Amino acid sequence: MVDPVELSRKYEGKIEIYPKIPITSYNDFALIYTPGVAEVSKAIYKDPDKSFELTSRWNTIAVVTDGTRVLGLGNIGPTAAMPVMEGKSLLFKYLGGVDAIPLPINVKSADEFANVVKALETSFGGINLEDIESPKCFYILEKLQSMLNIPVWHDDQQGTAAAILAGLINAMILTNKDPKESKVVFYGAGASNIAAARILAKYGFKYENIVMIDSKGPLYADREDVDHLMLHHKWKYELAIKTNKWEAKEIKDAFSGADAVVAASTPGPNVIKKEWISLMNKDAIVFALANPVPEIWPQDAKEAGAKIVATGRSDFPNQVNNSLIFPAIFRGVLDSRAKAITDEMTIAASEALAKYARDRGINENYIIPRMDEWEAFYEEAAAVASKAVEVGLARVKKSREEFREIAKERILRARKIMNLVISTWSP
Amino acid sequence: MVTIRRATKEDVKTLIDFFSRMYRLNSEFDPLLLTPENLEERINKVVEKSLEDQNEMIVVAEDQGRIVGAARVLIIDRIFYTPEKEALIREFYVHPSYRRQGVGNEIVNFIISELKERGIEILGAEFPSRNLIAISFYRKMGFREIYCEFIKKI
Repeated sequence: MVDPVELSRKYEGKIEIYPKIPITSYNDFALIYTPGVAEVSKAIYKDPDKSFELTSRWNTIAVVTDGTRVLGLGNIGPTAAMPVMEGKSLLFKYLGGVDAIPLPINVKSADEFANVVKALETSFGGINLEDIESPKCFYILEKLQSMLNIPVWHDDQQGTAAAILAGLINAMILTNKDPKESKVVFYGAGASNIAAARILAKYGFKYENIVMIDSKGPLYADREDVDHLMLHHKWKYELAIKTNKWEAKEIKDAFSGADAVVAASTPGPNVIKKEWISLMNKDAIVFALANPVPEIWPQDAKEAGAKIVATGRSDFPNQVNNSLIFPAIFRGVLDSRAKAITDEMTIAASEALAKYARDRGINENYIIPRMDEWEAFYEEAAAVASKAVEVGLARVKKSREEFREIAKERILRARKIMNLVISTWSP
Repeated sequence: MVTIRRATKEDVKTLIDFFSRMYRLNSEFDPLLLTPENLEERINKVVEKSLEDQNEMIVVAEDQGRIVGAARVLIIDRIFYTPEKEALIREFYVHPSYRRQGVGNEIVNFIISELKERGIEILGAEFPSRNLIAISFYRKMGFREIYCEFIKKI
């Protein structure tokens, strides 16, 4: 395997910018820059929305982080976060045809973060927040969603939550379980699981049938630190109040009779014990999503009675990964020029992803498409764009079929250009 | 359906739990409000005395036999003002799963009606000045600030 540091040194980073207007003569300079460009600026000055037609804004997003919770590395700061943001930008282009600018910013407070991003709004068609510590990330997301007129998305929350929902939809169909009746345990109460609980509840699961487990055990309204949460982590507090109708106080009680467990906690193995899985209902569904080692090895979970196991890894069946979501979500919101990404749009992406797998035939080892099933991305993008039209957030209104064709064309174009660049130029 | 009533000896255990939670919550607002280790013990004494004392009142909100909110009120003299008596809510706690459902309002309204029967015309509430939730709650119920307590560690 190539050393990633050597790879980064060889290519001197992962992305670069190329112009797309041809320059064939000296006269072209007057068109692409001064004096001709002033006409374009004047048109946008008259109607700022024209910036989505006359500049690259329509397809450009920022991948913004403060570097406070980078991958599994923790708070390494914005400078060291850059390689991750560059990698993300590459995936955005390759999987979604989206021009993503990596933008680690050196800010301290959540409000400072929000103000910087607000100031960037005019240059971008969307904002992808990345690798921000919790609970700050919830505050920043909500604040920016209320301040900005372009979609703001936090991939560690919504992207992972949407992938979890997509996998769960099919896992529940295979095991003949009803979301409205099913007990779901969330093991870990970080950004993705908190967002997933909310998205699942919007989809049709019931809050009272959910149990969230954090490092202190199951959350319930009576727990000693609930008032502390009210002041310092209102998102967890809300869940403490709404979930866990059994008031399960021990992990074993939480797992007892559960239909599904979604673990997004710390790398395993044996973080989730086999004995807990054996307490779950028949045909239990286990999502052990910690990387690089899942909270429980799939084989162990199955031995303990799990019917379907998903992990975050590509070398096991059923990889639940936000890369299945974020490129398509942004393709969809950019194509519909949406003003926001709502939970409904997120759920539309999950449903499209789940349906794509169903159309190919789901089974215990295939509940969610693989990342190389490119066509899933067009379906998702089209579902997101048409949902944006339906909920009145789209500036461009087209049919789902039209959005699918647009997404396909743009994603394939990006991939073709990348292949051309790589095949004609290689250091 | 929540009902409000005066507390009895059977409620003491829950009252200790609720009021100690309230004091621990207070300590979140200011380091000068740190609670002692034997907080429960101290509250136990206060609550038991309070249930016997004519100048004190403890009320609870109950839902299907379960206590979901509680408040303790002291009746104090106003020697230099008229009217000469006022009531002061010193402890107030609503169970987290019953918040934002009007339980607090019902408790305060019950206290007011009990006080009126006793001819008391003024009701106050004491809480940390950084507790914005309490400020908003009492303001909405028509209370306003009257005293300031300044404090300095010496």
